[in-house]
Amino acid sequence: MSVHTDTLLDVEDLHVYFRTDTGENVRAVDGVSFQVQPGKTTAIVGESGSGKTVTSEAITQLFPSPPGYIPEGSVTLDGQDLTEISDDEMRSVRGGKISHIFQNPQGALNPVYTVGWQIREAVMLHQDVSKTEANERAVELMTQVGIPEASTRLDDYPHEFSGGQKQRVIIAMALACEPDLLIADEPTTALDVTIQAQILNLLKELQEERDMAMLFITHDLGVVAEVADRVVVMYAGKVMERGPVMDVFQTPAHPYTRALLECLPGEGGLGGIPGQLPEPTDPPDGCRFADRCPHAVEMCTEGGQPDLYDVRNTEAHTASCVHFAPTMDPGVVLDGSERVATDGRGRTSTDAGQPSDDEEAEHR
Amino acid sequence: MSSSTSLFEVRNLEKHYPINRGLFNTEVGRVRAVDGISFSVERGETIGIVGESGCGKSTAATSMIRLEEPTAGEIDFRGEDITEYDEKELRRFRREVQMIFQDPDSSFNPRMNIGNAVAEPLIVQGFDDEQRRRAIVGDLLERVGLSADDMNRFPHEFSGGQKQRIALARALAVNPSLLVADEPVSALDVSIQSEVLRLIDRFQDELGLAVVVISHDLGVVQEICDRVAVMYLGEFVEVGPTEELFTDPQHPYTRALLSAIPTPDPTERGLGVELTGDVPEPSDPPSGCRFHTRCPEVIPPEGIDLAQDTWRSVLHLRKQVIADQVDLESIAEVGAIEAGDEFGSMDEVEAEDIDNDRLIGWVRQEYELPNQLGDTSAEQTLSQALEELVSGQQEAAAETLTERFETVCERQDPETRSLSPDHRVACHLTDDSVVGSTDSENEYRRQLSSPE
Amino acid sequence: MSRESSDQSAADPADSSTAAADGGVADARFEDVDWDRIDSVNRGRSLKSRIWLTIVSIWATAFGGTLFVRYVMGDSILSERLGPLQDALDPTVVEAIPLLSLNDGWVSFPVVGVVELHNWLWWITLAGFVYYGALPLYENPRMTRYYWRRFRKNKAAVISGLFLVVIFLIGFVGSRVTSQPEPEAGLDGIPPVGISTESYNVGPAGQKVADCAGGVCTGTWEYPFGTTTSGEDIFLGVIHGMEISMMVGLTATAASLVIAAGIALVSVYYGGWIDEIAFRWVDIQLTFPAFFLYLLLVYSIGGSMFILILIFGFIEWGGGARLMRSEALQRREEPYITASKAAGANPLWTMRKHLLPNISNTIITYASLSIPSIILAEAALSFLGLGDPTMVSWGQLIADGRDNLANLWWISTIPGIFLFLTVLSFNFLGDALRDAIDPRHEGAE
Ligand code: SF4
Ligand code: SF4
Repeated sequence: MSVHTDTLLDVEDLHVYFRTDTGENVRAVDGVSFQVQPGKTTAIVGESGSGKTVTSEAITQLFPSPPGYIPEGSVTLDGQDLTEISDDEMRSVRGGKISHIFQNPQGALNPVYTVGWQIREAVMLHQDVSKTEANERAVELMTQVGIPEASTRLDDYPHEFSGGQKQRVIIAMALACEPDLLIADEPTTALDVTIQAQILNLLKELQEERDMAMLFITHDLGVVAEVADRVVVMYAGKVMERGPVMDVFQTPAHPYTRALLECLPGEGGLGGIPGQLPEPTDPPDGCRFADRCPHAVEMCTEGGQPDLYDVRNTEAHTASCVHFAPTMDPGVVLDGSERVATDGRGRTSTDAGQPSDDEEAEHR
Repeated sequence: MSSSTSLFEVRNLEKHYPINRGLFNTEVGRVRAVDGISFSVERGETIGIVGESGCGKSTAATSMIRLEEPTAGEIDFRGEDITEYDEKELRRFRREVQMIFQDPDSSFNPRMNIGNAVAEPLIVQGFDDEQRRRAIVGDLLERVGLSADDMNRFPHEFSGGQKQRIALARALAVNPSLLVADEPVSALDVSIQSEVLRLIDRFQDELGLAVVVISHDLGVVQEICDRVAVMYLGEFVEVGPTEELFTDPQHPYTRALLSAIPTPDPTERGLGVELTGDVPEPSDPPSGCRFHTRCPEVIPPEGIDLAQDTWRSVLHLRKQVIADQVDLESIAEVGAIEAGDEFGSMDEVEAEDIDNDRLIGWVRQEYELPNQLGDTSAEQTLSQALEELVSGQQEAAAETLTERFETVCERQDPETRSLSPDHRVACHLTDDSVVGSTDSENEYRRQLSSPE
Repeated sequence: MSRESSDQSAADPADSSTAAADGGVADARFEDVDWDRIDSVNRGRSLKSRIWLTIVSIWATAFGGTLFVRYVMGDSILSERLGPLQDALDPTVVEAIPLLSLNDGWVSFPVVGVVELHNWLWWITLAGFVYYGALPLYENPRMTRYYWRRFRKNKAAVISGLFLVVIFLIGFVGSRVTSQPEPEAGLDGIPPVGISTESYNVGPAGQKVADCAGGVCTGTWEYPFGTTTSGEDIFLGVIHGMEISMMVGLTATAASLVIAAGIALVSVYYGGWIDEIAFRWVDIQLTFPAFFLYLLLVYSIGGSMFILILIFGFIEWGGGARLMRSEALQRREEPYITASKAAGANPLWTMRKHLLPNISNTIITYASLSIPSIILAEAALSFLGLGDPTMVSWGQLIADGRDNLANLWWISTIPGIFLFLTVLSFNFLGDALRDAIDPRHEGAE
């Protein structure tokens, strides 16, 4: 396990299992590796049941344990393996070097305390400051996250804020300890598009100002394209595809990624991916996506999940699909459905929804 | 609108919720959730109602089919006014209109197996041939892609997508002619959304079903709707054919909504027009055009020539001054923190302690106003008002600002105008008599509406 | 109906053939339903519900009649004041109805004779259990098996259930085939079988029954649980006490459940002033304690089982109604309720099919708390000598032994054990039932 100097967070072969009453293991996360660079944004994208949220929770071990446990894998932050530190040390990492923001702004604020109290609390928990200093910090943070008349609003209770403003308050709390890494789990999913745009822009601004790294968990490919530097596509507890955002969107390699992109409403095709997620307690052999994959061949259902092979010989962009194995022809997946007009203009065309013939046949 | 009777036609539908307070429950105000909307749906047509949460679209859905009693308005179904219906007629009407809901998990009674759930509309409508009922339910389940044997299973045994199919089966059981779908796929994963949408589409073709889709997701609406109505604070601001509305939106709100959708294309970053602030309370909607508090294109008064965002900032400041919500103390505090050292020694920064010019500078900063406005006459008014403000004459400042910076958008409620037979917009920008045909403004308008 | 619809499909062969091609039963497509025809058919109730309604109305008339004869006709002041009505109130009127007769101021029915007031309530409660509980289970064997599979996972509850069934059956049958235990001078203080006690504890006649030798008497099978200080057979007492405990617990709880659930559902469904009035009333009612009300009645008209059930059943439902209301309020906003209204369901349907099943958690929890507490309350009242003096209940037996706990410990202990086990079993059973009928609780298997 090498720790690059340009890696802030290194997740290596992470597994998270949940033990059920019947003694089976739900393999929520089943061997996931990715990195987050300082000051950059990595986005984990996937649908429900992909394990993306558990992955993010596993970094600071927020998942309920028991029944959850990490049987294997490491999470290295600045050279320190977070899976091996004590609970006390973990508490100082949470809200210290790493902050979380969650999907539901309602649940994250305590309705019986003023917003100011809660931000002060967050400040004082990790910094040895007086109450007045904490108050000043709170005003400053509120102003930074774009809440007007910050000092008056400090005395307001959460219910006096709108959904978007609550999410701003939560971001302010998360920033209180100057984290190196902000883990944002679907921070805009509960918000309207216009508010989502505000929050995304705010996060981008804050990130630039503070040179903070972000791990962004979302199901929305549009949001990924908006904020991410690197993308990790997850499905059924496994990484399907990984790479720089440009590569992944311009040359989506894994059949799952491609199918997801085609499903986007407004993208021209009412694609849809027929079938269902595999059983998380007893995943089938081979590729987890084999059941629903239009390109599946016999070897897809043998052995374990295919390795992450390089796509087009760039090491940064990899896909876990047999068709990208050195001996195979990736053209099977890529041909006929190029998302990008590679005519050197450097602009992508968004009408990517031209499914290849066989895919179309699949959908009929 | 076509002159022959539409399948379903809503005229000036209103749904207000009284706000009652006090010992005697006196009405102190009204939440105008739906405030006069009109539209019609033809057989086989799909119409979408989009808007942000709180705009009243869900209330519109429930009150237009009398699940909640509308406050006012006419609702015609096949030419009959359903607001006049008695209980028996209403029950018969229920057969013609069915609904599906956003949350597949709570759409089903957890204690009722899905066979009974799908059969429920049949039973309550008096279909009591049990054997045939089971056959119909089995057939329906198969047609939505499940198996007839699933009848005995309970809702929690199905995935979200499956439940939404079952919800569709339940809605179709009585063979309705209108389906109202309230956010039918918002709770589903994208890969499943399209399956459900396609299923709706298929039945629509087969049965000539008319569909009203309520959604906050413009992508979904674009995908399946023939016509779209954009709703803001209880009113339709724009109604038009989907294609036209998406490629050439006429209302600033529609434009803002469209530009806020993140595109799955990393080369096109930056989310266009950013709407500031939140949707105002529907109990106290803004005067004139309801969108004017957030509108990025508010029309400046004649003779004032400012960049749009500066103009907006001026408006925002004006609003705050009028409401007496400019918090000089807090501005001083923040200003002092940002100014750093100079004030570092002071424990408490009081607005009075700071000289006026400096405080004005900070106010400008807080409200994102440049130190000098581009337009001299506007600048004069502004600096006069700020002067008044920091010297404690809030009312005078408010007056000064109101006098000079009043826009037609807040004075007048824009009428709904038809741009083409089925494209209606409610915005002064489309009204030459209001905007005037002065070239500068038309020019300005064009600037705004063209992308980049 | 079914014949009509098959006619219809014959008239439209194209449709039925497509349906058949679909692999379904002919006419299985929702598009083919002829709604006008269905609207024109006048629907009646099913045979089953007609029978049930008949039973309930006969019961109501007979019970009402009994109450009338007992409390209105029997009241001489009333019949004097209401001069003109005096004739109608004359006992001979009752006699004039065929097969009815008066027996000591009570209506005597054919076959069953005089039915005591508390038994009226007991019978209808049992009938209700059969109609709403046992019958549906019998009709849906699949569902029954499903519930059973889930229920039997909880071993303690299965044992509790068995215990309660046995208690119920022995009590119900036993108290009908055996006579009430009678005090018998001299038979007092016999210990249970196999237990020995000093012979001075045992009455003179009892010394002959028990195995007495050398100043020590050992109980025999003649009185397996021994006798009380007044010579009553504890075994018989326990058996009769079984029915009484069951009757008080179940009947009073059933009455309060029906009232509480009814009021809660109606209030929640309609809301507004109905809700306001109903629950203001509950607030008021909760302020006067049932216990004191009972004492008042005991001293004014004498304690009886009927009054006791009445008090606990008709006064104590307020708390339950509140719990059910708050649960139902949460359910009311669920989309499936809206869906049901949107399908055209009437209020009764929505309340019965959607609201009621979804507050069953609360109902069962409430019942499993209420039954034991009422049983205990009855025992406590009897212990204090405030119970129905004509009936032998566990509380009375326990009271009988309270002065002689050191020597005649079995008198209090034996019924005490039964009381304890019964109360415990109801608690276990309640927990398990709640889990078993909640389909969300776990997967099917
Ligand atoms: S490995 Fe096979 S099943 Fe998996 S994505 Fe590639 S082609 Fe499809
Ligand atoms: S009328 Fe004015 S405020 Fe309203 S949308 Fe049009 S330009 Fe904006």
